[in-house]
Amino acid sequence: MIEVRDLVKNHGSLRVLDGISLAVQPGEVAAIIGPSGGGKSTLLRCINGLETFQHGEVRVDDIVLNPSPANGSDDSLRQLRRRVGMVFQQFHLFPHLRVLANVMSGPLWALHQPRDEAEATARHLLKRVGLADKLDAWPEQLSGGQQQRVAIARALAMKPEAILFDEPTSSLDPRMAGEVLNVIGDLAGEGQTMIVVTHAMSFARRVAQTVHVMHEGRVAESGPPQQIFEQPRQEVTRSFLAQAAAD
Amino acid sequence: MRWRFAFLCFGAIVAAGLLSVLLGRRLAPPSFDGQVLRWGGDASGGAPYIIERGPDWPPRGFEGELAEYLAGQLGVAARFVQKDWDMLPSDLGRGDIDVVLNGYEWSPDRERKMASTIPYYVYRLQIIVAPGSPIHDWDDLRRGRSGRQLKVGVLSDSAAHRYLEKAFTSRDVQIVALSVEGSTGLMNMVRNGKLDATVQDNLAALYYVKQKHEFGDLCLVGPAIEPGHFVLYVRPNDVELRQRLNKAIRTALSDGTLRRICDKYGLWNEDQQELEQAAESWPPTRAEPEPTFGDYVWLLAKAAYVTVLLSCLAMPLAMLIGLLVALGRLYGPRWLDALLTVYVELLRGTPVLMQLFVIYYLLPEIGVKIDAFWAGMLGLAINYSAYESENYRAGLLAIPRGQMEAALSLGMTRATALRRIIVPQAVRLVIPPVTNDFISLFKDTSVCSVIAVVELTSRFRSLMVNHPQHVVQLGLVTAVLYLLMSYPLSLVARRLETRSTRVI
Repeated sequence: MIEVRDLVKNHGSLRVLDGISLAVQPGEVAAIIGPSGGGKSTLLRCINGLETFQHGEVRVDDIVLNPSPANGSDDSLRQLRRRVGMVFQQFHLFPHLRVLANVMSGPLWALHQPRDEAEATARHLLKRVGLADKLDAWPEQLSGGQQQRVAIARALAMKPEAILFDEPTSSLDPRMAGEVLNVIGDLAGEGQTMIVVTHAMSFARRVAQTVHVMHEGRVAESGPPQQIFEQPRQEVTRSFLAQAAAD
Repeated sequence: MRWRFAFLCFGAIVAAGLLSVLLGRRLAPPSFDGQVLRWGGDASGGAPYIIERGPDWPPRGFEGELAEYLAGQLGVAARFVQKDWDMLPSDLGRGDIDVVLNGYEWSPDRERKMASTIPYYVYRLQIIVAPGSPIHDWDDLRRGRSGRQLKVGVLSDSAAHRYLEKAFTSRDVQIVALSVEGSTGLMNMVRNGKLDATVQDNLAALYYVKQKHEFGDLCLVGPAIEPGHFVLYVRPNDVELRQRLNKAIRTALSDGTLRRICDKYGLWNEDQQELEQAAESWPPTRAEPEPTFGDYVWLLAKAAYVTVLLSCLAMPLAMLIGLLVALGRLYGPRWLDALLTVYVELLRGTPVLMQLFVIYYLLPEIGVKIDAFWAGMLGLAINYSAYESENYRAGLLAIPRGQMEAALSLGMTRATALRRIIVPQAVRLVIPPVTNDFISLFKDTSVCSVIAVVELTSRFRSLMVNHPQHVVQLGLVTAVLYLLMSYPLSLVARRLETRSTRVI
């Protein structure tokens, strides 16, 4: 239900996405790995319209994004974003709102739900990510791992069909990263469609159904985690995995 | 090392200060040099007092010709020195002029600081109105009789101004006190309906209206009341100069010169018969009660209230307009950005005084009747909105891009994202500079004095002109009042600064 076809994106003279194509089925957990600068984040941001692209097509169910100057009308972009949520590497919680208000912000201001309905959903989700006792806290009072879990709850509040994770644990130390990866793993177990750009290899191996290796704006190799990690076919994959293992 | 440097700087500043004081001031008070009688006046007051003829000619006019005569009697040359009317006493004290000769009436307060000659003219106050006006007498100026509050123009700090403030309350009549415009400006405003009447020294009335110099179409109504004496003022230490001037004035009276000059401008009347008698026992010992310190403080406090009102109304408006301008520039179409940039640059690049004049004088031309107070408030709000818009622009730009991206990713519209996420953060971010601007605004309200708003600075100036011997006390009280307005705000600003840098 998320389909990317021949996407080309230039940033000035630099070709960031080089005619990339990808498909993610409902309920599928897709991990995208690869060297930095390969275009992984850019791909994610093109899918939910935060970046424009010059050629190709993005499809989410019946919503299509083309390389027009506005990248699809405002309305279709909004529709798309309500179906596909995003979790950022820097969390980007709203610092002027408490945790509960952060999680309520989507349903309240994008879906225009009544306040008590939004609040009930928010409470439930915060419990689910293990932060029921932090409802009244300010984002700055939380650790990185806690903030990211709030961000996940915030995205979940929109009841999206799919969630894009843009290197969700890259800013976290191993312990906090573990907390967050557990939450993401639980979501995967419940059948949430996800695309996760990550450097956490063991997580990708454990949780993903498909792993895509991106290199220089294209998919170098795709397959089940077992194949990618144990029997990589491409040189790119091999050298990347070797590098990752060496750290 | 740092202490030594600081010491050096401090010493340099003190030395510079002392040097400039020593060089600038003579150690003895200034006095008449016996060669040239420098007489001070304000030609912008116009006829019939001083009529300028050009840079190389001594001025004509009632006082111009009188000055020439008096100097001749003293055997010296006369030289006219153009000064601001209100500042003549200080200019006298500083030694820029030797005598004040420009419609300065005698008052016990002035006598405390300067020495007066015998009077040269007895004036009265006169109402001037447009033909067909319902005002026929002094009582008609009151609201009750005519129904609505009338606008009566006077020259700032003149005898007319003081009389009206004493005899009428602010509910009876709206006193519009102007200075730049002069008598003729005021009469013009009566003629074209901007003022219902003007009250002036009868010299202007006699010359312009009765003698039909330019304003023959206007009417003089009601009796001329509140007689007073115009005198020349010299420094108290110029005892000989004063005696010689008194002698010269007596001569002018006896040989008919004074009458001749008066007649030339249509100024002689029965009142002038009193001059000879007044000269017998001068100065008079009128027992006028000296205003108490409490009176001053009360008057200044009332004016301070106006200052606070102006600031507290103007600033929120400036903030609102500023925010809208900033949003328009950052998130609106290109042409809007260009337009608003012009707005900001124009307001920041021209003096606020000029902007106030434009609002006060221009708006009525296009049919918008606006009170001085509201014109002042509006002018300040618009001027400050340019500075606030720059503050908000900086604040909005400082919010990390990720905030907007997170909001959009949740499916919010741009407008909602701005309203709920970006603007609340930006506004909090720029509280420190905005509060600082608010503190400045309290002082900038003083410019409203030029459009006749009686705020703190204009009240201070009036009191200073009329009671020059109390300048120091008045200055202190005024400064304290301004401080009382600003200091609490700075404390609030400092607290907000620490809070906002913590939360965000």
